[in-house]
Amino acid sequence: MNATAIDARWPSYLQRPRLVSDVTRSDEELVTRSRGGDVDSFNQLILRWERPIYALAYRVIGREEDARDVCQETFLRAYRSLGGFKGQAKFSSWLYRIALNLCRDWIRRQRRAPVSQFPEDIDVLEAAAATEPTESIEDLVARRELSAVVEEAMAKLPEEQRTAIILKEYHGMTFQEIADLQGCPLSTVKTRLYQGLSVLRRQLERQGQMVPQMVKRT
Amino acid sequence: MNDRTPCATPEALVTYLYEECEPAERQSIAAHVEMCPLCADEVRTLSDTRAHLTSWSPPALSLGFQITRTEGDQPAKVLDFAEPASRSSKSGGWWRQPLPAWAQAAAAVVIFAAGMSVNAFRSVEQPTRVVQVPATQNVAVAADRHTDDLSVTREEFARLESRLRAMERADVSRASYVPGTDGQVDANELGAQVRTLQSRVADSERQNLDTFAKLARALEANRRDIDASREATQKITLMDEELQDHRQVLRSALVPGLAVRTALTGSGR
Repeated sequence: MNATAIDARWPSYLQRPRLVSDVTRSDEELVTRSRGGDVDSFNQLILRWERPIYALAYRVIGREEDARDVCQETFLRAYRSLGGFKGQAKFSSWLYRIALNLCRDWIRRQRRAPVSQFPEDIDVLEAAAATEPTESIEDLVARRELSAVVEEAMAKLPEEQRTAIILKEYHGMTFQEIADLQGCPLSTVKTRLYQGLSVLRRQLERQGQMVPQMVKRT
Repeated sequence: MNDRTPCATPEALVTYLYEECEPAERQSIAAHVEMCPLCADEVRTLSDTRAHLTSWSPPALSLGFQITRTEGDQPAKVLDFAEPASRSSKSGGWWRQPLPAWAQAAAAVVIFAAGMSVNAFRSVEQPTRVVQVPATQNVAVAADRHTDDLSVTREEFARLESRLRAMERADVSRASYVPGTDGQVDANELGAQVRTLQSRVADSERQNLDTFAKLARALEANRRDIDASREATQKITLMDEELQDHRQVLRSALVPGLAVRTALTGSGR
């Protein structure tokens, strides 16, 4: 029995279980099905992309709950605008663009540098230990400290530089993809990356996380 | 600084750093970086900075957004079925929680030890028989009486050898010890005994190798069993999570007014 046949027999008020065919379908196939009214296919897309989008939003705006809201809003907007998605770009690029626009709106509303917070009701050590059971406490603490330093240093970067680094480092995008998303020339992306990394390096040197550079380029 | 070629521009260095340049350009920059300490240092520190970035990860969070089915003119909603992060690690009974690595390792050791104990117990049930040979008795004859007992240990062999050497020494020094009925040490008989013992040692070694091979196979089978159980446990955990998801969906569908976070159209975002 294929997924469509199961859909026809499945009660409308219940979420259909995931099938292997759902997981193996490409984004484009799922988008086509979603545009045809198949909500479950869109939910498969959400399942596939919610973590990267949340990670992007968290790193750009630095607040867990707000990043979650941005993530939720991104999918809602994508679902409503599905008819306007012509498929010239990849679905993921389109989704990233929506998310970045929402992040930019959020930053404009806040009108201040993002401040990241680790939720107070969660024990940092416990939470990290749950994901890394073999890591020693010393390593865990060192990693958390380094993570906090990097997070703080990233928060001090201008938004364009921070976004360029995030898209490059954590989402593996090409210079061209970043240029398309940021709406700027390729050379600007490279400059942003270079300047961002240089500022980060100086921040990390100040925090004692890196050995200072001995010679300076002119 | 290189006298022959100018330093790479920041853009070129970034392109080189992320390996997004053409092969010829890459080769050219690499050649320059090799000769220019300034650019080499720049590339090194930028790489170090990138390495530091890997430590930054967003907090683990259950998301689980879903679009609900639209009914007529009702707007689409994104429902957030995620449980709080602090709850997600504690939901369900202890038997539903995935085992930490140390517990899995401990379980593997216990199973292996149990297997070895059973094997050892079987060995105790069939103790190694020691061929007691009176000093005056022909060793080969004594051995022939236990043709079914092929295991001769190195200790036994050493003991017998030392006994034979003692006999030989006694024969040479005192000439009062008479091992046979004719009062002479038969060199041929002694050689035959040594050859017999050597062949028995060889048999024993082969048998030991067989035993080791069997043990290794048993160990491998145990390892496969443990892997299979671990896989089954993971599958059960996944199925359990899926069941929880379905329960949640069912609950939200059947219980009106369930508190779920919704993002409605025109909510002013």
